[in-house]
Amino acid sequence: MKNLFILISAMVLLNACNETIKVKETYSSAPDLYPDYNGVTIPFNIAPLNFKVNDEYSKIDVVLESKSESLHIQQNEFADIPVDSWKELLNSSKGDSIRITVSVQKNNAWYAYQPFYIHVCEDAVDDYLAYRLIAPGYEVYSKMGIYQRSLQDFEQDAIYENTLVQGSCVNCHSFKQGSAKDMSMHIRGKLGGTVLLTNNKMEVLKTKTDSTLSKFVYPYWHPSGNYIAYTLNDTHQVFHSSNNKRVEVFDNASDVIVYDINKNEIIKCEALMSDSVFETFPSFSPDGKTLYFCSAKMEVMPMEYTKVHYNLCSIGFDPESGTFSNKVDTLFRAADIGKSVTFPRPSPDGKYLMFTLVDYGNFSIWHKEADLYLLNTETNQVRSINEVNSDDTESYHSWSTNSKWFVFSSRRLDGLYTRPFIAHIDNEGKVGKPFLLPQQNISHYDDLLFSYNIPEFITEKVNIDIPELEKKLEGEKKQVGIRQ
Amino acid sequence: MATSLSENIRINKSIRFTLLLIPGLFVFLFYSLTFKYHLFFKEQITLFIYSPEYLLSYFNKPGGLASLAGDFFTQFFYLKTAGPLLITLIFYINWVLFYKVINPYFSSEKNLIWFILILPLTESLMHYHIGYTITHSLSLILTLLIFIISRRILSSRQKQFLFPLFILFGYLISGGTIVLYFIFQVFEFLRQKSIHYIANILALIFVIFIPVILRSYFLVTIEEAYLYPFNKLIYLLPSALSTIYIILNLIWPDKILSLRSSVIISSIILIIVIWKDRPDFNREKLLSLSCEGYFGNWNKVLHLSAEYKLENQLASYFTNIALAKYNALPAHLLEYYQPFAESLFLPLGRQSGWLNIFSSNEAYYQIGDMNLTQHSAHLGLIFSPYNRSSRMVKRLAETNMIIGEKEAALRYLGMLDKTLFHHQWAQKRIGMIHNRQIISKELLDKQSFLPQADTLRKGEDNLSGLRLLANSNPDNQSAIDYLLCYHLLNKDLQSFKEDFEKYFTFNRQLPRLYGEALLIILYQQKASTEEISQYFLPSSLMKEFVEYTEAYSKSNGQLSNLSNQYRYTYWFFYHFAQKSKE
Repeated sequence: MKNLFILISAMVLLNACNETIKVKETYSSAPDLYPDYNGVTIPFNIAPLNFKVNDEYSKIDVVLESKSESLHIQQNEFADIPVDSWKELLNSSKGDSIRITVSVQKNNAWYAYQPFYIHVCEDAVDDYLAYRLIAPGYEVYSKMGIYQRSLQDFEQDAIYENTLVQGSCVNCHSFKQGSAKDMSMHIRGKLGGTVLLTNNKMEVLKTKTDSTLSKFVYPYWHPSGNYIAYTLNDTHQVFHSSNNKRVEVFDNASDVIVYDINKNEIIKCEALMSDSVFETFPSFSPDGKTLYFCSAKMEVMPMEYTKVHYNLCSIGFDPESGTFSNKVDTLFRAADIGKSVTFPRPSPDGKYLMFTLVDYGNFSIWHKEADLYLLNTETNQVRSINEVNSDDTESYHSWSTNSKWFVFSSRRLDGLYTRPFIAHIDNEGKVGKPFLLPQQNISHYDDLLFSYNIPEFITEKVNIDIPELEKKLEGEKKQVGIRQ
Repeated sequence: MATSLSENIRINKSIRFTLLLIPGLFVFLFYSLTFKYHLFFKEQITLFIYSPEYLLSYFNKPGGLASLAGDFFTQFFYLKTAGPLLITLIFYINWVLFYKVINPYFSSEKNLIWFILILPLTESLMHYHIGYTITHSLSLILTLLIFIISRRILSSRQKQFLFPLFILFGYLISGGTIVLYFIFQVFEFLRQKSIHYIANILALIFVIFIPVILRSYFLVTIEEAYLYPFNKLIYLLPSALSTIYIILNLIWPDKILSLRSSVIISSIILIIVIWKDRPDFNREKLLSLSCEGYFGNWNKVLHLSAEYKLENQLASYFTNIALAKYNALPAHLLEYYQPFAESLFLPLGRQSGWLNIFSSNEAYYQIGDMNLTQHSAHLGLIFSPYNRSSRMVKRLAETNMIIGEKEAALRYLGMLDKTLFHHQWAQKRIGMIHNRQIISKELLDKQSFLPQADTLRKGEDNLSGLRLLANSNPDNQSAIDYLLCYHLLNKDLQSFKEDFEKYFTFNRQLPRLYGEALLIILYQQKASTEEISQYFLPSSLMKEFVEYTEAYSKSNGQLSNLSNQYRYTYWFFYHFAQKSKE
């Protein structure tokens, strides 16, 4: 039904005639755009970058030109670029730029801006983006869901919505190297459990055991698909009283374990379950032989919450035997500079490790100072990714399967709701200007009262059999065991 | 003779017309006089934004057109008489439609229109439920329309062929009520004795399987797939009653008798249902407090609260906010029902009802705790029945204006700017953001109350929040009174004394309530005369305290002996107020 309406709207738009314009005046600057797409680097398979000019006008005229193609559109409120023409334009501009000339009509006269450019990269981005849409309601939850969005057009559909199970929360969706067939997500609540898709075979796990701290929390898949690292957290939520901070989530205790999918058992490692240290945010290296994690000296919580600083650490892991080495390496001593690392994420090609750096703690999503950093695994050099950081929060991030793109959530638009931005990184480690995930209607983000949470690239659509999931949630769940 | 006959006919016509107006007038007056706040509140728990994508989102669930049009009309409930008028209009539309559906079965009955009155009346009575909306009415109307139109324009053979398609179309635009279309259509085939078994079985399969097949797309539960947008079975009562008429007609050879029996059975069912699920006039009173507060008519809140004398947590909550608005919380606190400190702050959690969650931001806003105001408003927004609320978006805009988050405030104001009835409100505040000279005094006052230091506290730790506000700004009398009254309502006199000494300044008159409480704790601590003198307690109050203690001793702790004279004193509350086990 929705698609029918979109189709009708598109047909009406396409049938509208483009008026030839006579420019009364040409401004000396490029237009001030929303979203800011001026100078961004985009993949050749991305959906149209619809935009508007931050000015009062009655019509907008846009000419998009590559070396061999050109596209002319004229609309009332914003530039709504037809998907097919846009695709042709991008395909003809791979490795080059598109020149965009914008004019706006004010009081029946046309005013032109200086052209701006969009760089079209030859590196493709994965076809879909999965994310959770959640209202910033913190402790109790009502409506939320995990959705997937085609990056080549604007189609979004739900993977799961919590309205399917009354009083439930859904969180921590994770995929094996972008595979939609291998997914982990938690459904919390009375009928809850950890939903595991392995090659599209679904199981619902009961993950709390007598000898572990909590149910499974933050996941990261082993590249082999045989293991998933999870954290176990005793998490609490508190509120700030000052105006520029809102909420803090901290752990009273936390451990990292690895779940052996085939044997349905938890693999413990003493170095990852210390009583005097908080361990969290695990991730496996692309070769599967190293487990990265964040580690902080335990403090009295929440009184000493600002003293909690997580370092970036790693430990060897043998995928054959499912055992750990004895030695923990500290890769980046954030505590030494009074900072704290969250969300270490290695690029699939193993060249980089991206993480978020904050002043303290691990709840970077509500830290305005949170920025993205890049560790070069060859040189061990760490740098702030200034090309993408803003004055507001940059927090969760994930890599595309070809290591050329990363998506990150940022609150830069309004300081309140996280939105997904995508950026390119080239072979030399140079990062392009990021672009906001394009939407068909540019008021999409303005009218949406939900944050984009945990954006993850996936290569195809996730297909969860909802009746089967409901049946499994209502039935007996598979209890995970502990490796002795 | 001919003139007289035509005059008679005209008179009869005007009498009939006048008679037809009476039920509508009843519906209009019923909602105008008894449920005006209830209807206004329905607008507050929706948000209709004129934005293409927002409008398209209605089609993410079955019955998209009914939901979209329902919310479109609900926004008019913001206007005082628009709600009752709309419900009355819907009443007449339903009356006509039900008549059109049922008429072929009882075509010989001239007064059929009156016999089926109970059907539209039942539908209009459903609106006294807070969860029953115009969307539900329109879902029913659309289904009846589909049936009537298909009956009129299609031949029997075409109908049989198109029957399944109508079900699919109807499901997408009107939702679960399409089952009613199927039932009507089967009855129609029975009436015309032209049953085409294959078409009917096919249609039955469609009715059964379309919701099941589409539920993976709409992401609804099995129950919702068949009922959406109807989330309670009782809301389907008008549809159910209408089928009684037809079933009795089909199985009973005596049509007149079947019609009268239908009326009687429907009336009995309606009476039983209303008896079991009566209009909640107490909730209307609570909503009146909530809505008058929303408009800033706090004096009216106090007036209504005094009139209602409700022993209800939410009523006390709004009353206390109103008292704080006039710096009169300690002066009149005990004149109203106080279920301990839970009448100051509403607990937030999964067990809290949505109305409590929806209202919980108001107290935080009053005392100037903007972080928890924002948190509660977010919860109010997502816990309101349809996860949309114009009132909560306004509160979020105001809160962000106060804390100086300009971009966030503009974002909410931008949404309200795209509404029909909150557009001007938003424009005014957008103006304030761009020109601080015209910012309202209320917002400036709230800004001056913002805490300067940062601490962490749990959401339910209201004491820490209150102390922080009192520390940050000694002029924040609301926060100080809330803090002191919080202790008093919890009968924690030691904490009361400590915070009184810390935050109460004697540049305001000592409220009698505080004096009464101080006398208890000073008496318990065997304070010296010199120590007592530090609190500037009036001698008359001390004398009364002595009299009370004597009276209390004489009464042997019997409540009735003291209630007349001392029922509004803190002494009485301290001795006799008990938390209910619940």
